[in-house]
Amino acid sequence: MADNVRPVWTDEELDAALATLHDQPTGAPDLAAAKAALFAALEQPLPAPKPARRWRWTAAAAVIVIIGGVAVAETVLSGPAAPTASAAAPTLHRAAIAAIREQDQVAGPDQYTYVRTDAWATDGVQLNGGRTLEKLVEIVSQTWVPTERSRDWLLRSALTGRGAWLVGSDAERKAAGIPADLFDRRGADVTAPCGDFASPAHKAPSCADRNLPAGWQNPTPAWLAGLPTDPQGMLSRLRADAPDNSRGDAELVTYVNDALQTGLVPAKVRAVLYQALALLPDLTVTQKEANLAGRVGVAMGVDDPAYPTRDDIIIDPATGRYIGERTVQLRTQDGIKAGTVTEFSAVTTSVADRLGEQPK
Amino acid sequence: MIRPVREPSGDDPPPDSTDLSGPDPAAVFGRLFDEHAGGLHRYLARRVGTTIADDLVSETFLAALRGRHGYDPARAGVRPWLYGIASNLLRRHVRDELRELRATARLVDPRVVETPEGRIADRLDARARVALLAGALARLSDGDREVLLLTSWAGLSPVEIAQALDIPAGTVRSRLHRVRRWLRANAAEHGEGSDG
Repeated sequence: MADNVRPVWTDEELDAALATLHDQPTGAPDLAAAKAALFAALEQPLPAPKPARRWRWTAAAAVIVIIGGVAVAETVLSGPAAPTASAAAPTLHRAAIAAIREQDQVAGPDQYTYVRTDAWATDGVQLNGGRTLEKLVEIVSQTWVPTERSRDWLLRSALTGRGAWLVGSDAERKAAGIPADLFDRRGADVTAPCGDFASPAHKAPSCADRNLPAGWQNPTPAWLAGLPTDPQGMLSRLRADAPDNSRGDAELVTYVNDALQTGLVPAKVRAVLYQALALLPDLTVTQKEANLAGRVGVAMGVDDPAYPTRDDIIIDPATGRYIGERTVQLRTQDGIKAGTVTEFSAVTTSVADRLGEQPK
Repeated sequence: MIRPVREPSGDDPPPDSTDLSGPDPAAVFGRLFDEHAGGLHRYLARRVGTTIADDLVSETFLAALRGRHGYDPARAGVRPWLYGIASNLLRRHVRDELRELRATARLVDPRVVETPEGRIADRLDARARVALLAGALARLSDGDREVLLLTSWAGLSPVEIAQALDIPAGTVRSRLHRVRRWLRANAAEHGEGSDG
C-alpha cells in the first residue's frame, strides 16, 4: 500500500471482515429448550398428511427487498402518506420549545424507567408458485430500565395476536395448510444487566464493557451527558457519528430515531435534537397528522431517491413528545404502492416501581 | 477391509429425499434438530444475538414440523428449507439487526481514521474494517444482505440459497456478485460514492 488511499477492498479483505463481524465466541448454544419445545409439539396430535404436496414454506426474500418488508394496511393507519411541501423547521422549533418546558417523569434511584413500544412488523410465507402471503403483526415490547443501569433490565416482548393481511387472507392461509399460530407466538421475558439483551449471559464487569457500545443506538446516561447542547454542535456531532454514506441526511433521521426509540433520551436533549434536525435543508413534513397506534403527530423525513424507502420521525409539536418512527415506501415495488407505510413503532415512557410491574 | 458393494437402498436417503411426512416424525425431526439446530443457531446469533436466536431456532423447527407436509424434497434440500423458514422469521427482527449494525459501525471513529486531508489512513486495522463493514451492511437492501450472509455466515451455496429463498440460482449469483462489488467499493471508503 504505497499511497494512503484505499478506495477498494480486495476480496480477501472483504472476506476477512465478514468472517470477524459479530463472531463472538458464546460457547455452545443451549438448545435444550428448543429441543424440548419440538418434542412437546411432536407429542401433540399432528394433522393428517395431505395427499398432494402443493405448498411449501420458504422465505419471501425474493419479493421483499425493502427494509421492513410490507405495507401497513390502510385500516391500520389513517391513510397513505403523501408528502406536503411545507418545511419542517417551524414544527421542530415548536416541538423544541414544548420539550424544553416538558417535565419528563424521572425514575428514582430504586425505580425503573418503563418503556413501551407498540410496533407493527411483518410476517410472510411464500407458497409454491411464488405467491407470498403477507401479514402485519402487532408486537408490544415493554422494557424496565433500572436507574442504576448495571442492575437487571427486563424485556417483555410479545405478539398481541392482532394482525392484518396485506396479501392473502385467513381463507387462503387455511387452504394452503398453514397453521394460524405461525403468526401468533407469545414471547418470553429476558433479563439482562446493562440492557444487554442480545447476550444476557455476558457478564461484563461494568456496563461500559457491554458488547453494544454507547452511542445513538445505546444512549447511556454518560453518553447523553456528553452531547453538544447547541443545535449546530448537535448536527455536527450527528454528521460525524453517522458514518459517511450514500444516503446523506436521510441517514441522520435514522440515527435520531435509533436514539429516541429507546425512550431514554431526556426532554432537554430532545429539544436540541429537534433544533438540529430543523437545520437539515431537505427535511420536509411528510404528513401533518400521522397516526401510530392511535398516537398522532407530525411526520418528517428526507427523501432519498436512491433508496426505496424513507424513515420518518414523528413528533407531537404541542408537547415536544417523540411519538415514534415509521418507514414509507417511496417507489412502487413488488406490489407495494409508493406512499404506503410499511412499518412503524410508537414509544411511550413512564416510571415503574418494580421490575415487571406496570406503572400505576 | 473390503466391503461388499452395496446396492442403493432406502436406508440411506440423500438429504434431498428426506421424507418428512412419514409415520414417525419424532425420529425424523429429532435427527433434523441434532444435525441442523447448532449451525442454525450460530448463524442466527450472529445476525440478531443469542437471545432472539434461541427463540428463532425453536420457532423454525416448530414451523417446520407444522409445515412438514408442505415440504417438497424435489424442490429443496432440508437444510435450505430450514434456513428459508428461519430467514422468514428473521424479518420481524430486521430493525433490531440494523440498529446493532449501526452501533457496531461506531466502534471505529472516522475522525481517527481520516487524516486532515480527509483521506483514509493507509492501514486500517481489522477492527476498523469490521466496523466499516457493519455500517455498509446496514445500508444494503434486506434481500442483498440475506444472500450475502447466507453465503458467508451460513455457508449455503448459491443453489441452496436459491432453494431457501425461492429465487433462481442465477439471480443469487448475480446478486452476490453485485453486493460484493458494492461492498468492496463502499465499505472500504469512508466517504461518498456508490455504484448502486
